[in-house]
Amino acid sequence: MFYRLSGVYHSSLISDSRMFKVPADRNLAVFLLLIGLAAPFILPSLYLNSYILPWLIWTAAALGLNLVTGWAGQLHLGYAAVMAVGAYSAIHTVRLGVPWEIALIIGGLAASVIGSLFAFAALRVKGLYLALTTLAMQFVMDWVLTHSPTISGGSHASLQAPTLALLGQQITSDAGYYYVALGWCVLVTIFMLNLKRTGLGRALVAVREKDFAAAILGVNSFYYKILAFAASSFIAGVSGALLVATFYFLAAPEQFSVNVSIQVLAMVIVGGLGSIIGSYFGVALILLVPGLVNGLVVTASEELGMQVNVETLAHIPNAVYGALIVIILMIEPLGLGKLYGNIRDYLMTWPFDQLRK
Amino acid sequence: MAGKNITGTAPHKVAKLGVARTFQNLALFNGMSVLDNILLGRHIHMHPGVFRTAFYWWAARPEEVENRKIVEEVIEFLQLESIRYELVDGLPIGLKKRVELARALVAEPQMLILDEPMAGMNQEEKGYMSRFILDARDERGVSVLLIEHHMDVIIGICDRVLALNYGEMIASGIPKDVVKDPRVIEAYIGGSHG
Repeated sequence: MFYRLSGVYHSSLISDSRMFKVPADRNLAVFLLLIGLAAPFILPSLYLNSYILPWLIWTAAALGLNLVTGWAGQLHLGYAAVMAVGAYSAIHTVRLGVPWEIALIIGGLAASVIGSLFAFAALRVKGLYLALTTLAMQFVMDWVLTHSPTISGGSHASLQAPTLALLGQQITSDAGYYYVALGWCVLVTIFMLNLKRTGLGRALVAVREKDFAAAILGVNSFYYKILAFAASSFIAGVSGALLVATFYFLAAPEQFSVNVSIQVLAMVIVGGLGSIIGSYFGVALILLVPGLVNGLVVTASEELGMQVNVETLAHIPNAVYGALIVIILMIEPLGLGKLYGNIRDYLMTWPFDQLRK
Repeated sequence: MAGKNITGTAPHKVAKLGVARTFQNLALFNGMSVLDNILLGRHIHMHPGVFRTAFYWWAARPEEVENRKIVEEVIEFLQLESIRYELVDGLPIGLKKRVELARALVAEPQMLILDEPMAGMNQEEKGYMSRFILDARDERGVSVLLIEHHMDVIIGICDRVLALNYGEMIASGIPKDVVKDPRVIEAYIGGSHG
């Protein structure tokens, strides 16, 4: 609004490589971060911990998937399995008496190792075949989890997560959980923003766009694909562990089943491949809209005095939510992130863009 | 290459040996800005990694800025300043070819292979391109291997020509002589029928 690009000139290469080149964007980010920090004092803890907290953790997870699918362009249908590896290894490590900080890192590394192992096998193939191979990985992981009592505690069993403790502090309050989630989400976001402006991000995009041209420039595409899988699996592992530690409190194989993999992929695609802000929107849509629509339908039917039976009631939100995804992808195939980008770019030059035309 | 036979070496290793090339059908990375495309040309001189990315301010920024300076020199050299932040998708082909040349040049190769840099260009763009290629050779000291069949360009800028017809060498030498060779005329310009 009011030509926010005016007066923005970068006079050094350092300032030109900032995370947010436009001051308006930077101010918005700082503002949002402040709101994020203040949220426990503003929002009731019900909203905080049943909506905002999972949103943040899933956003971190979705950003991890975005790294491999959006940046490196590798379709990954076994993401939930990688999260499961992280979650279970972190919990077992804590149960052995290791502090949570280290356990989280171990969980991430374990996920990273398993994720890249699968990538090794999977990267001999491309495109749809890769999708299928990663899907197979998901099923293998599901099977391993349900059939090995030492990991999951047996089929249909769930594993109690030990109380989260970071930096010597036991974290049991709602606000505490929320801050842990926020912290992790911010860390991952910063990593992704850095990725956008470094050689690693460029190399990954190069591999995605044209691997032969990337090779000519000296980019070893196999190495970078593995690197993308490893980094994304690390994020997945820690996110999975935090999800169990701060939200589910129990680890069960169903939490990381194939539906979840597809759901995360949907978050990334609806949000926009390769878009950071898009992942936030995508997760919000997939995670929060069903509940929202459900509430709306219930209120609406009560207001109108209609008798809607329970079964119909259960299906309407799903239909609306499915339709919403289709509509969004029809309006903007590049997802919500691109939609936001369009609006932002319009407002960036408003009202003077009209003068140029 | 520098006394070594590089046939059969993996493509990404060849780049490290100082060979850079452009493509006849363009191989720029869509969805990236001109600047990012050219920066990718510096890849062999950089050491990107996960930890460097995570600790950008300490680990990656000096290297990024250092390489950006070299890229800026080439951008200035090829007069691409005004389109630095544009996405490559929307550029006209003449500019795309120039961006590709820039991407090859920033790698500071010893050997630059240009595969039909003039393909699909008009006379004016060809003139520009020829000038840039000559300047690159003179100022930056790269050996240029030019694959081309625009006779005017070849006569204008090449030192030495090797003419091929279906993979067979039919003539070699300085351009003036080669284009007079009857077999070259037969293959490239068309014989005098009757």
